[in-house]
Amino acid sequence: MTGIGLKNRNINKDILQVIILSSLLVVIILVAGILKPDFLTAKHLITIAHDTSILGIAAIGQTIVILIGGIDLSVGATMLMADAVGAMLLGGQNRIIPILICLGLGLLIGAINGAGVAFLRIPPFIMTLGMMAILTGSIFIFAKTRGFASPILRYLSVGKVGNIPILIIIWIFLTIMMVVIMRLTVFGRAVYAIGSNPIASYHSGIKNKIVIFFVYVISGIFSAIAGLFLLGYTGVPELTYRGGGLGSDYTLSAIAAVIIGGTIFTGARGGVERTIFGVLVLKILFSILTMMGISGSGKLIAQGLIVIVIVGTYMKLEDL
Amino acid sequence: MKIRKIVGEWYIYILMIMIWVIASLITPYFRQMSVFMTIIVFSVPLALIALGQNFVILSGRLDLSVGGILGLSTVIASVIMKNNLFIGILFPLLLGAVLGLINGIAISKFRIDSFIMTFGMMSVCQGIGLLIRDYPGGYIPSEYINFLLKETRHIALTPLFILIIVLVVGEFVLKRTNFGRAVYAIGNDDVIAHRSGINVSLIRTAVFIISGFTAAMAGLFLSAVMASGDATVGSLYPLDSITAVVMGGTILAGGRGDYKGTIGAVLILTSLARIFNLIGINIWYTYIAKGLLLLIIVAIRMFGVKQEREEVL
Repeated sequence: MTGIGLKNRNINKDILQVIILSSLLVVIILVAGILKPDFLTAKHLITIAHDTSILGIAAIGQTIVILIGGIDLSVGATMLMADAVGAMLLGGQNRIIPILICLGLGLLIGAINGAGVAFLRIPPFIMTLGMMAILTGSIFIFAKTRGFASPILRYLSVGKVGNIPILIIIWIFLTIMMVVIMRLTVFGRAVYAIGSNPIASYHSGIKNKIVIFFVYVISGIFSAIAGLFLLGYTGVPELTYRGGGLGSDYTLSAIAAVIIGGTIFTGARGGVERTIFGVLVLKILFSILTMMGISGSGKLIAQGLIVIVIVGTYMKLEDL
Repeated sequence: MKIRKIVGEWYIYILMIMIWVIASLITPYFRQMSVFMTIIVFSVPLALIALGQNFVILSGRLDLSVGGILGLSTVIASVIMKNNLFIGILFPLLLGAVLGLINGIAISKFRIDSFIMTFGMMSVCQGIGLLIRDYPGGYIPSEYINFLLKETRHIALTPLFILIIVLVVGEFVLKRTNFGRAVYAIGNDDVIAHRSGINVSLIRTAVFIISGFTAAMAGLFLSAVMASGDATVGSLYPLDSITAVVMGGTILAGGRGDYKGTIGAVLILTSLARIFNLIGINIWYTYIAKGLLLLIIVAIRMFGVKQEREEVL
């Protein structure tokens, strides 16, 4: 994990990456359209984007954690926590307190992660891995598979304005908000600075620990938001084993999406706007495989190969 | 000062003995030999995987593909062993080493991040495993199971031997061979290691081959325990093995740590599940215990470490 940092920050390569990704997107959509003409209808594409929104929201938080040079393995578990607790407390009624409790829970989880990483200096991988284990245990002990989403939450998750699902609008709004924060505020620049070189950023007067703490808090809140929308999307809590081991869909899919989008593990390169590409590439590919009747095992193989090939291509780009 | 050093080196075994003493005070069942043997048997796969993982982490990388390779090798063993036991053992081991080689080349030559590469490899392996056998099943010869798990006077000798041999070999290779020293060296700083004449990409590739090989070995052992093949059985092993290695005192950034601590952590992790089971506590509490134990141990250790970059982070 050698530091690449700002010195290689070459705008041309960034543009090249975006071009490669968007042409990849266009090619797979076109190929799918030729194989199955139904695929290219606007309705179907919107459905895919709708499906993508929840992962997209979770991936926003993951992106800024990776930008600062960390990682958050507790995203999936936090989502399922908010999902289960939200359903339990809401019980199918429009109440604001349960929503606030869920968001507060996300904030608390993020704050504990942030405190562990920033103030106790526990490596992020270990801190969030431990948090994931604790959350997974807690969900299965305390949360029960009961309760429903409230009508408003359900409306926000599955309802539409015209032809556009509200959830997509929320996803885009949250992304734009985060892009603005990351690009235009002191906080955002501090995140890039720390991800690039923590010692330099410390000596230029940035309070590293505070910034790192808040990055994990933000990730926790975004995970909780994604968990609530997941509840609204399905209507009932999704208490499967997904929050657990490495097979957990959301944590690893979010990380994979961030990396496919071109944000790199060593930090400071990439951005929230890039993650949209990553999430879309993953989801469109999956929906194509589903449409072609390829089973779960084929999807796993395809996911693995795609991630390796795309990241391998990025590393080759670095040599150009 | 001396006591502090001893505690620093052996804290995981002190903790293990404390947990065992407390458990045997709480429940009489824990004092039976059979419980101890169950812990040994279930420790073997994790100990084998953690050996490879320990090499990888000491060299400054991660291997998430161990679970996929383990699952795939149980599946392949369950398919081939009914025809030919010898090939049924040899082929998964060879495949594990080859998959590790692919990981190693991609990570050292193409400089793909190890997290991403091995995550991709895990998906691919699990997918291929599910393609071959989408439900657990297959046939594992009973003579093979007997050889590995037979108990003479309530003592399962083979697993105990495997554990001891793995411990001795792991410690020996890491501490007493040039290869082991090279692993520590590239974990500390691969640029300096390169300048002092170590073939960094060769060592890095070898480390991943070892990890793939030990994962396949763990798969072969587990297929005897389950008497079947299951592509998804390994899904918890990547994170569990990383937990064990880090709990045992190896630094995630690489270059510092050993294997004896890892074995202690493996024994603790497998004991916890058995103890909670015997006392009758919900099995999900082991997850909470595991997470808390990991965080507490690492936090305490970080307090002890004085870094010059302390203020900076």
